[in-house]
Formats: sequence, C-alpha cells, structure tokens
Amino acid sequence: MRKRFAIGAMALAGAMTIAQAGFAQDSKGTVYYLVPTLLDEFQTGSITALEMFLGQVGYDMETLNADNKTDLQQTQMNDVIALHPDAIILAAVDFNALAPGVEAARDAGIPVVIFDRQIDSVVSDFTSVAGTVEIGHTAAGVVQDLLTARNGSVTGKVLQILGDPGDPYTLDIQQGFEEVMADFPDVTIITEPAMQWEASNAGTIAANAIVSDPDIDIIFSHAAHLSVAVVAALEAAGKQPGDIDVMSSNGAPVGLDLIRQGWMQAEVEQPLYAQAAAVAMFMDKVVNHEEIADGEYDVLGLPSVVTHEAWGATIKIPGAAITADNVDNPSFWGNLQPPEEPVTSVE
Amino acid sequence: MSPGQRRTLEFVLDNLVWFILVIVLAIFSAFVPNYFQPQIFINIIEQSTVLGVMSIGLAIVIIAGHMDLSVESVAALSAMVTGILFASAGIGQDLPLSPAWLKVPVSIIAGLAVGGLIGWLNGILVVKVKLDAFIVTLAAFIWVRGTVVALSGGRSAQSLAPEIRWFAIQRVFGLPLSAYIAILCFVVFSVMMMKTRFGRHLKLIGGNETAAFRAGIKVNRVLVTAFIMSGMIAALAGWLLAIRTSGATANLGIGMLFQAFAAVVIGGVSLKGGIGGVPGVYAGVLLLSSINTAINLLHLPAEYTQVIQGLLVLAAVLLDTMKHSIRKRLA
Amino acid sequence: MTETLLELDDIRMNFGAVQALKGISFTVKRGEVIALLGDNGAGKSTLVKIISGGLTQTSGRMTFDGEPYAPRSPSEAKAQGIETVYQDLSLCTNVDVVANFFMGRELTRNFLGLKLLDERAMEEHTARAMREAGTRIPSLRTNVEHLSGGQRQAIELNRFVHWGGKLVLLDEPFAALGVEQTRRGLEMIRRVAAQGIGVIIITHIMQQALEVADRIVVIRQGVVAGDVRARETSADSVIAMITGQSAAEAGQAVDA
Repeated sequence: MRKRFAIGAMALAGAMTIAQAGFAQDSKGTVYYLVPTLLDEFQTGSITALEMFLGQVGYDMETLNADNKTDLQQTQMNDVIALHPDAIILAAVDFNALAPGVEAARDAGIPVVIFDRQIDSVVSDFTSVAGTVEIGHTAAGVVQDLLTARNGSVTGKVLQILGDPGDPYTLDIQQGFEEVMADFPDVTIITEPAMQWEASNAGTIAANAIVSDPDIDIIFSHAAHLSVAVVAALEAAGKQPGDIDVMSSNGAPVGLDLIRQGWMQAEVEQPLYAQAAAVAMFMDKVVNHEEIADGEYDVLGLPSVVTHEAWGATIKIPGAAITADNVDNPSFWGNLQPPEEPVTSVE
Repeated sequence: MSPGQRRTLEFVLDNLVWFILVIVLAIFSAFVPNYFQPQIFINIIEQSTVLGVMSIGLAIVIIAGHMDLSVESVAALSAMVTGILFASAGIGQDLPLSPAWLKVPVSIIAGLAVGGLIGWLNGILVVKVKLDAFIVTLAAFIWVRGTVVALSGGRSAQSLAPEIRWFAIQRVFGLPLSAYIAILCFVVFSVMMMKTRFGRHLKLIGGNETAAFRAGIKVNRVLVTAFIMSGMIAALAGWLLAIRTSGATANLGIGMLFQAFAAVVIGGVSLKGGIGGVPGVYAGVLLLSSINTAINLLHLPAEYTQVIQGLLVLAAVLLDTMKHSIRKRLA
Repeated sequence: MTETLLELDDIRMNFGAVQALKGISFTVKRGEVIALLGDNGAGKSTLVKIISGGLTQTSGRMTFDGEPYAPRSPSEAKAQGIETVYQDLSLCTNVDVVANFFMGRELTRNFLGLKLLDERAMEEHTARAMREAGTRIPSLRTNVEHLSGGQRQAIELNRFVHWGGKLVLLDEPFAALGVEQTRRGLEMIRRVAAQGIGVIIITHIMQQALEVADRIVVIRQGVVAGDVRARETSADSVIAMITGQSAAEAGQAVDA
C-alpha cells in the first residue's frame, strides 16, 4: 500500500523530492532518539544511520543531544515522555542514572529501545549493542595478534589511553580489555587517561611515554580521534609508520584513513550500521508491544543473536577487527557507505 | 637591610615562580625515574606551546582588570577553521593553493580574523554596552564552542596539509618550530607589557580605571584593543593546536581554559587586575607541564593531576598574599 | 590675549528630575586663585566634573582662553590645558611613583623603530620635580600602595604643578595632609598662580580659602550665592553665604 502510493506519486510528479514527501505523509509514527553527545563521529553517524533505517520501515525520527550531561538527558527524557512518541531510543550518557527515566517511560506506555550503551539495571523493550566490554575483549585479541607479529609471542608493553576517567563507556572497554589481558603476565599495560576525550591530551601522553618507556610496542586509544593525535606526536618525534603499533576501538573514518596510510595497524569496529538497522528491523514489534523471538537474525549480512536477558530482549552484533587487509570493506561504518539494500521489518 | 640585600630580595619576590620552577624540576629530576633527560625537558617546552600562547591573551585582559573566558573556545574555532580549510581527511576540504606554502599565511590570517572579530565583539559589549566581562565572555565561551560543533557537525578534520604540519615536525636544537613561535610570543608580549605605552596603560587601567581615565588615557580604546588581542592570541593558540594534533575535533582544547587560569594565577597575575607580567605566566605554564609530565611518568591516575593542580593554584594565591606582606614591610 | 581665562555662562545640570546646578555663571582670570565653597551637596563637585570634561552640562556655555569650550573627555580638557586634582586620589597604587607621575604622558625613545618607554628620563624628571617641591619619598620605584596618605597627596600635587597647563582644578586637595604639608601645598598654589595659571580650589576649610584665594565663590543649592574678594570679606560673612543668609549682609559683591 505504502509502496504503491510512493510509486504513484513518483509517476505523477516524476520527482524524487515529491516521492519523499508522499512517503513522509504515510509515516507510522515518530520515534525520539536521545543521543549522548555530538562531539564524536560515532554518535553523529548513529543519527544519520538510525534516521535512514527507520525511514525505510516507515518511522520519523527526532533527535535530542545531551551534550554528555547526565542531568540534561534526564530532563530530556521527562520532556519526551510528555510528548508521547511511539518509542524512545536511548543511548545513555550514564548507564544507570537514566534507569528511572526508562521505567517512567514504560509506565506511561512508551516502549524504550536501548542503543549502543547497555543498561542492565532496568527492563527495557529492546537492546541493540555491540557491548562495550565485548569491544575490550576484541581489542585484547587484536593486541595479542599484533604482539605475536612483533615479538613472536604475546609479550611486550602496551600504552592504553582512556577517554576520560569519569566516563563509564571507556571504563567498560578498559575492564573488558584488561580481564582478557590478565592471562598474559608478560604483557605490561600502562594506562593513562586523556581528560575529557581531548585529542591533544592523548598526544602529550604519547610524547612523554615514548621517552620514559622507549620499549612500548602498541598504543591503544579508546577512540580513533585520540589515535590521530598519537600519530601526530609520533610523527613529530621522528617515528616512522610501524615503529610503534597504533590501534583504537570505534572504527571512525579517521582511523580507517590512518590504517590506509600505514600509521595505524588496527581498529575494533563498532558495527554502527548493523546496530542501527537492528533497531529499525524490530521497531514494528517494539511499538506494537509484540513478542521478539529468540534466535539468529541476519542484520546487514552479519549473523546476530537475539536472547532474552534479565533486562529484556537483546540483540548482540559482533564487532570486527579492521586491519590493512579488510579496511576497504564497505560494511564498516567508517567507510561512510550506508548499505544500499533497504532493511525490512521482522515479521 | 642594605640596599643590595633589599634589591636581591625584591628580585626574588618578583620572579618567585621561576625559582619555584627550578626547584620543582630539580626535585623531579632527582626522584622521578626517567625524568632527567633532555628529551623530557624538550617535551615540557613543546607541551607548553598551545597553553602558553593562550595564557598570554588571558593574562593581558586580566592585568587590564577584566576577564576573558572565551579563549579556549576561540582557540577551538580557529583550529577547526584551519582543519576544515586545509586538512585532507574527514571534513577537511583540502583547499588547493599554489604555491602550497600559501596555506600557512592563509590559515593563520583566517584564524586571526575569526579570533579578532570575537574579541572585538566581547570588547564592545564590555566597554560600550557596559556588560560585565565575566558574563560576556562566559556567553562567548558557550556560543563559540557551539559554533565549532555546528561548523563541524560533530565530525573531525584530519591529516593537515604538510606545509602547515611542518611547524610541528621541523626541529631546531630539538625543539619544533611551533615551540619557537610560542617563545617569540612571550618575548614580544613581555616587551609590549613592560616597555610600551600601550602595555603601561593596560596596567594603569587594571590598577585604577578612573584614575587612568582622568589622566587622559583612552580607556575604552585600550580595553577593546586588549580584548581583540586576546581573541587573536587565542586564535594563534588554536592554529598551533591544529598543527599539534594534525587536524581538529569538535572537542579539541576542552578543559584548557582552567589550565590557562591556573597558569596565569600561578604566574603571579592577580585576578583583581593591575598586577603581574607575561614572563611569570610562561613560568606558570612550564610548571604545570612539568608536573603533568611527572604524573605521566609516575603512571599515576589522572585524577591526581587535577588534585595537584588545584592545590597548586591555592598555594600560588597564598604565596602571593605572603609576598604582599613581605613587600609592605620592605616599604 | 584677554585677561579672562575661563568664563561660565548659565551652566545647568539635571540628573533626571534632580536639578544639581541651576545656572552657574562666573569667570576666572589668568593667575587668579578662586576658592569654591559650599555645603555638602551644593553642586561643587558636579561643577568641577563639568569643567574637567568628566560630565557634560545639560545647558549653558563655557569659554576658555577666548574659544568656546566643550570637552567630551578629561583627555580633551587636558589637551586644552585644564588639569584636575580629585578628592579621591587619581593614583594607580599598583605601579611606582614615576609611572604615576607620567600617567598618560609617558616619555618614549626610539629603539630600532620601536617606541619604548624611556624610564630613565622619566625617573630624572620625577626626581627633580619632587626635589623642587621638597617632597621626600624613599624610592621613586616603590609602588604607590606602600606609601602614606600624605606622600600620595604630594605626588598628586607635584604632578599638577609639573604639568601645569593654563587652569588647575583642585577638589579638596589637602584633606589628608598634615600641617607642614598643607602649608607647602598652599605655597605651591601661590607659586603656580604667580606663573599666570588660573586655579580653582574646592575646600571646606575657611582659613585655607581666605589665605590662598583671590576671590571666593559660594555655591548654594545649585546657584552662585556669593562672589567676593577674599581680602574684602571675613570668615563669618562667608559662612553666612554658605548657610543662606543674604549676600548683602555678608560682604560686598564684585563684578564677574
């Protein structure tokens, strides 16, 4: 019905814009997305991706930016509840501080989807995450590979640069990374935080570390924009690409560029497109309060598993390691090529 | 006390922060592993580049009895303008110029123009509209950062043109050229504050604006000029920041305002205005960088940096009070 | 060159609904010392601010040195030769004596095309001016905040003597001074006037006014309540003018 209407509109006017206008009139409803910040390319990318995929299954999306402020996001949550949207998508600034807001929304009959940043302290309607702890696990695997390639075994020294010592997101990655690396006593991990995710702080840390610990093998930053400053510091110190391995863990476009240039060896992809596509695929079921069945689903070609956890139905999409070998794969969000095939609702 | 002793004591009081810097460096060299080596001292000077330049502008406005909270955001905007114009990755437009070295003056001029314009606006609102400088520049701190986010759409510009990056990579006696730019700024503005009529007038206005006005000093014009200067100096700091990180992110430079404040206060500039000079501020910046580096090398958690910096500012204020009472006894 | 230096013609000043000055007219001749008297709030300070360029009158005209005179700022007044010493001192305590002495008039010398402050020349000038006035200050390089009230007053007075100009306004200049310093100050005023400079001095102390002034102008409730030669009046009759008894019984009025 919707398709036919759209095709008809296109035939009548013969213009793409009119077709989109017709499409919007046929909207199933409005969904609000509470994004934690706009200071990070993953977050701005998530807005574009969610808007596109939700549009493909017939929903309009409005976005509110919390500027990394927990209290602001709580206020936004209360405001949005008063607007009675069809659903709320939440990427929380602080994982637990928003739990009461989630409960209030669901009490008001508004389903809540948890996106990217998992909240396990309260029941929600659907959760789509790569899992921050899991990103740490994947990063640990990449570190093992890089160290083996450099030193013949998993031994050496790693400088880990956190985003901010007050941000649970970076602390979760650290936790995941260090719990796996604990099995390798021959690896020394030095951890320093770049306050407020500020790039030049990461550059300063790297510049000092390569003087005080010249035997550092890998510098692992929790976001690609920090690696950019690390690379700038290495270059300014006269290092060549590959003298010290550099990696980070969000798969942003700048990270992929640096892999192509040889300055970075690896990125841990956060499957942004798939995470967003999964939200769109299950949006009908969420809005209509239908049961989401456990099992394996194909999300943009990635095998993803839905399970029922204590906090409700959850889809986990594996994050991949990006290296020079696969860096041009268009499915990585850092290549900024959204999938051409539209997603469809799960029946 | 003999005149000689008196002169020595006054010299020590006037340059106290430099003596503290030397003592602190000696202590760190003795007790922090890997600290005492030339490369660490080079790193300290290099890390003081951006913060140092930014602190000069802040110090000038504070000495004139006012306040400029917008310096951090102005630096970020200037860095973003440079990044968007001449970076090749991300949102960088990689503007082609021939010959390519023109990118250096064009990026500097673009940044300075933006910074000067914001400084001018701040100055006019403070001097002509008679709004409080704290509020005016706090507003600028917020709206200029907002402009950075809007301009970039939250994305970043990376891989700055090699012609501009050259200033961070080319080294003379171990120091990158960008560090010499900062040192040159300190020399130029120290001379301006100590040896020119304009610098003297700024200090007089900071001491007693009414008296300066009655003495025929064009107070409004001098103050607006100070705000424009502060904006342009912050823009230069932003340009150096873009060079250092090879591009710009939307949150670049965040938190630097408070560092700059700490450096200015530690450097002996009174927030009441009229007291202090530019050289002391450089010592303050170097002291902060030295401590930062020590914390990095000790692998202490970063929270300690903030605790130590906070205590340091407090100590600086107490020391200033002590200096004051010693001086009173001298006179 | 006319003998009249400054002429005030019907100067009025309103602050909103309040009429601070209701038409003030008098003249100052070259080399003449005028004492401006009046009760608190009579409008003396407002008048001084108008003459010195700190305020602009609501209506009325001034003529200075034969030309229409309408300063828009103290710097314009100064440029035309009118110096002012204010009741609350106009010193910057955060800089030294020399910097205060040359405030707004700093001397510079050329250094590689740059105009840099000529500290040595300024210090020499200041030292000479202080010596001539008999003021002793331990070090001219001491910040003024460390000096006593009397020493600060002396700097301010020496500054106006040195920069003289054509007319000097003094607003309660001896409020903080000791007996000896006050005597020196009054001598200084006579010396300045002897050079042909006009002086207007605001004071509360009748004795000072009668001692130093050629003429006494009394302002009461925003108008000139009396304008008399100092030699031809007495303290009692001036007090009568200030408090509002008729000018006729207080003394003989003179032509402006």
